[in-house]
Amino acid sequence: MEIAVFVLLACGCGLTGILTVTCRKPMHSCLYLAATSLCVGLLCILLAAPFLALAQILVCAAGIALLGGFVCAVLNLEEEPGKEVLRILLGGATGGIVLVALGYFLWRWWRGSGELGTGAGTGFSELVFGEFLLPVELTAFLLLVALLGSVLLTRREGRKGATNAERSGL
Amino acid sequence: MEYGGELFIGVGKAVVLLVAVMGVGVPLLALAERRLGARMQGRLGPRSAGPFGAFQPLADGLKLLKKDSTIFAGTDRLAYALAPLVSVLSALAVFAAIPFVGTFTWMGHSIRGQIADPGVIYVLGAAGLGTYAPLLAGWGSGDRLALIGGLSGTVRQISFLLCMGVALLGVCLLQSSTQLGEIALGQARTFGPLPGWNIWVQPLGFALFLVGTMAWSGASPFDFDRADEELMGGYRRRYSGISLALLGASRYARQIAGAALVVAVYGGGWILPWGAGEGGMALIEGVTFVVKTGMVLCFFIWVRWALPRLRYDQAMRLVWRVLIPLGLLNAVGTGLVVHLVN
Repeated sequence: MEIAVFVLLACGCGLTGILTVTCRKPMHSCLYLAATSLCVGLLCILLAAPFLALAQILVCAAGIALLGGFVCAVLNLEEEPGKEVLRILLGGATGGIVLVALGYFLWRWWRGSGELGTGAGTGFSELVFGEFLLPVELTAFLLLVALLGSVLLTRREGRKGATNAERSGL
Repeated sequence: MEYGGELFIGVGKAVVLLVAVMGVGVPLLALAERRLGARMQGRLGPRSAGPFGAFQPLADGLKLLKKDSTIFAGTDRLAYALAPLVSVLSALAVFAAIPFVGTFTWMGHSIRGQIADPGVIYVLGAAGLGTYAPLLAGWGSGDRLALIGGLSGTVRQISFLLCMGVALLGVCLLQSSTQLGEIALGQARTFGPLPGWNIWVQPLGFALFLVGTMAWSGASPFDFDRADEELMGGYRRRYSGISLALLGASRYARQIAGAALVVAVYGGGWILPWGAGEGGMALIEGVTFVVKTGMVLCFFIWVRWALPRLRYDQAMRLVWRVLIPLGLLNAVGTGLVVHLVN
């Protein structure tokens, strides 16, 4: 049962990952990205790493993908015409890498003990919150600075008499 | 207990919870909101359908089910169809972590009074996934007013979820746990004449969490994203039939989940004051929890009919400039006190 769920989630990850990059509408891509993050989170639960799973869902599915969707909605991004070949190439390459990686790990599992590794998530958490705590925190700080910087750089100077909608750029 | 037995009990608890929330809680809350609102405004309120208007929510639901779901031109079908489902499922997912009663024995099996206890991070994650619903509904509707409503709805949910999370930090630090079951159980104590609930030791956190919960669940006066006068219903304006019913039911389900969280984290959970009923039946514990949750919901309804709706900018100013900084101060202060005491 555990293996069946694992394979199902792994296929879900691959499929939604491919759809993320091949999908025509940016908003749909964000939705598929959220679905991919959700599948990865569920895989982490299966690998006995519940904190990692919840962080994955909270940060990636409910944070990053949502932010992407929000931007798509604000800018009202529509389907991009005339980039079919590029889209297929990028989507195919990325999806192919995901499938190869998935196949490699499945092959290793098949050649190995046949049990799903339970230490992977825990080991990762120990590394992130132990040995690599400082780099991780510095990266987080850097992202925060980048976020604030992008807000400041794109901010429009308010002029006297401008309406709220004009100031916010809507 | 063997794996099959655990699975059976887990599924059983989920079914009971689903029926209790969607079948009983949501219609009762809808009726209570209309009856109490009518009483506050000196009106009669619904009273024709059944005794005291008890069947009014059922009649409203049936009416919505009979209506066609109209799809307008320019609608994105995937986003439009997903929004009500995401809204309902995320609201229901929050209930899985709420401890309604303590551990009890049934037919020789020891059963916990919650489906699972993955902790407050799970609650915030499940609630966070619900922030997709207004965005999808607004964008998928292909309508400018719906989009504005959807965007403000998503911003409202994210901002006030952050406020809830910051407020929860104080309790987690105080009880050295992020598990809701342990937090609820840790309140089985007394502070002199007072019951030892977290509301007394974390009054600021309680106030912040209460406001955050009200706003996250979309209760008035924080329902600016569906402002009927300005946005004509906001992101829900192009929904009809069963989709509209699901969106409405999910809002009530979120309110019930929020009230239950307030009770579990700050109101002593299923524990009666001064240890009364300690070691009693699960039924008494369940009734205690339901009564406390009902009192919080009555407070929500009272505020809904008493205060005018906040504007978007007022709500954002409140949460980002007042509530979240206060929550951070509360967390830092609690951490310092815990450190000094230990």
